[in-house]
Amino acid sequence: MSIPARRTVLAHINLNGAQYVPHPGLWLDKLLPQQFTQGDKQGVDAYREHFETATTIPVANVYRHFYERWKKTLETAEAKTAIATTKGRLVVGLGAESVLENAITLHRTYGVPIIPGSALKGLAAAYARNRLDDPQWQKGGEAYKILFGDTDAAGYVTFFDALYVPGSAKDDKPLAMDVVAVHHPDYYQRKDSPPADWDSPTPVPFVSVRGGVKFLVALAGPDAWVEAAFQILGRALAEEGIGAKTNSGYGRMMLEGYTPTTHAASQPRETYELAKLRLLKQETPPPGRYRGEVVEVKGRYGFINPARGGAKVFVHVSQLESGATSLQVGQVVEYSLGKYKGKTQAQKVDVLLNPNR
Amino acid sequence: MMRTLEQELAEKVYQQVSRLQVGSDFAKEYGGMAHKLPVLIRQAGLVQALAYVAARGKDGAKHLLEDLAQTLECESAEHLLKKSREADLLEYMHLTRKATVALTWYKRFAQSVLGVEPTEEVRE
Amino acid sequence: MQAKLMFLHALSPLHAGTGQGVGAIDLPIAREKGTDIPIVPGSSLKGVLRDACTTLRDDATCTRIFGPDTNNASEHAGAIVLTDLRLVALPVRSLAGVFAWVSSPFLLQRLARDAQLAAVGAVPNKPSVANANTVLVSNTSALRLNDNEVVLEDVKLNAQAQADEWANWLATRVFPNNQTWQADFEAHFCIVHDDVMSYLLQVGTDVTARIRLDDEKKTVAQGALWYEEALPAESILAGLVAAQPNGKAEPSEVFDVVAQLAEHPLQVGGNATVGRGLSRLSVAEEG
Repeated sequence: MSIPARRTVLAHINLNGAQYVPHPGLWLDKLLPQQFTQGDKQGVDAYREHFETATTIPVANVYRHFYERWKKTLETAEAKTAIATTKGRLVVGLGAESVLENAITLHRTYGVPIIPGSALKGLAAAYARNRLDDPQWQKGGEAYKILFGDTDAAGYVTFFDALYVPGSAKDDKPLAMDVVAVHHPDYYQRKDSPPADWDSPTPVPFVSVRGGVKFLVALAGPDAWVEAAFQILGRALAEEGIGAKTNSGYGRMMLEGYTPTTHAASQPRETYELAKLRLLKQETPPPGRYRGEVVEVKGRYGFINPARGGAKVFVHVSQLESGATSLQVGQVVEYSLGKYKGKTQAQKVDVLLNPNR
Repeated sequence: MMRTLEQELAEKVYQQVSRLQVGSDFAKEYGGMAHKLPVLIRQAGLVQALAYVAARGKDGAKHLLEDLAQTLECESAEHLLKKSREADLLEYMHLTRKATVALTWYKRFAQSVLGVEPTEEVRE
Repeated sequence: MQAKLMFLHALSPLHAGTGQGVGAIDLPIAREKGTDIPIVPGSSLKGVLRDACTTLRDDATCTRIFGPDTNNASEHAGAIVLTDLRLVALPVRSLAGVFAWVSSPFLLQRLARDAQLAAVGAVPNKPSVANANTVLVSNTSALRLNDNEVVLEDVKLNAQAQADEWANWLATRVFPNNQTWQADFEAHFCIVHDDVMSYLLQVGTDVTARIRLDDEKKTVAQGALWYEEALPAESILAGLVAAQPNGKAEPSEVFDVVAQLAEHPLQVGGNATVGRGLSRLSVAEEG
């Protein structure tokens, strides 16, 4: 069964008639042509087609003017900025109420992807509480209160919305179609694990931000506290990620100047063994990425044992990214698969974890 | 004493909501949608929101649509959907307003009569 | 009493709140009673300007202009008087041109009344929009779809190119000395019927879900979901700044200080620590 979902006067509207760029958020929210019964395959197709159209919309020229002015305003307001780049996919606001089942947070006026200041602040605060050992960073601790505030007083640091950097996505189209990640049941045997979105009986498509897309993160406040906030954010974005589906590797970002080159194996409360277990067995990497452990090193090359099983994968040191310079047995890595001289090898290799010395 | 329109509306909605069996799945679906629908109307517009519930809603949610239709003086949910699609601009804006006002009462009674809280269906 | 017209231009979502709300929104924005036009209360702007003054100027100047702090409030009144800032143009999502700066005859008439008190020179006449289905756009409009349709949210309108006079008048005052933005403003400005405006004032604001997550389970904590309303970035409001004789500061000093404070971005309204309410104030010059 299908039900028309637009006002009759809007039934004929498509995007071909617009000489100037449409608002992708408006298109997504209010112009789905039809709704189908839950479980109807046509319904999933209708969603997919609707999402796909939104991903073809480039960023409007007027947004460039806005972005330039925004940067200047931040300067005048004495805010500090740093560029954060998505390593894989990113989706903020996936669970917001939507007639499309899945949503994404876009700038209300300009329709570009943003990371809300509230999300950045929430991530940094949670990271401080859970991952920093010093009691001053615990809830009620002195540093925590100053930076993030509490019920009595506001924090000293302002977290602005991080805006999409124009031109940083291919063809200036930062959004892309996405599919629900493949579910490996044996990865999730642990009890008390958080509720997961793959329990949904009818997976529906969604839109996410591509990898390699840049956002302008801006903070304001007393210098030392802003610096501390950037350091916490740098780690939290690299290790935990922001937005939805972080358990599947979404939302990891490199914050320029603040991303630790590797994850320290001796995280507070997390030993190397525990970290390895988490990275290899509990998390799913983003689509097109794989994880594994380096099990053999011969000078400038070695082999990875893939987490999901199968033959060992060749890796050369030249493929290491994000600052790592050597291969070591025990490293946990995330990589893509590619061919070199006809043979399969690991490419774009990120070192996620180094073994204890 | 003359009753205001608002009081009449509240009583109408109360009658409908108190017919449901508290604690049943049906009532939870009904109450859950009473919390969600105002937000959906706000984010997607009246036609999109109503079509979504009519097509994909659970039984309790669809029943809310029937009740809402009655409150808005339509014969059935189907009639309300058709009206929302075909209304001219002034009628449409007016209908949106009326639906939003009515839903604040469904929301209140979902909470006080059915005991359904707004956060129960949130993800992420 | 001398008065000048000022514009407040939101660069990030602006939440000047009233506390409790009804309907879908838990934390609504402040609106004018009777008309539901979004406002920023003059008292709220005064607080912001006073704070800015204490960081940029000496205490004596701030006291002359803003009056003594609350402990000594009885000594003398401040020389500055600020009216509520009323919305002039709401940025609304558009199917062509990304967004439109939407105004209406009623909003522009209210602005014109303020402008006359501020003696900023000739103001265009109240525009006339024939009916609810009509929208006035400028000649350079970026909002048109299929020749003459304009789709704002779920409202479809027929365009008439009759908004140039107001578009130009506003552009030169809200974006003085900035031709890029003057052109952008004119291309995105439009005037809708008052009935359509009041619908857009309800559905066109920025409503975001705020949640508090339970650390351990990564689920939403009980009672920790709420919906917050804000004016979207690019909202434009206007009001009057006036100088009243208080025996301490001359009107010229009041306007000079305000002009100086307006050179810096201001943070107006609530939720400052998550970047809300970053705004630009500009005072329209005479002529």
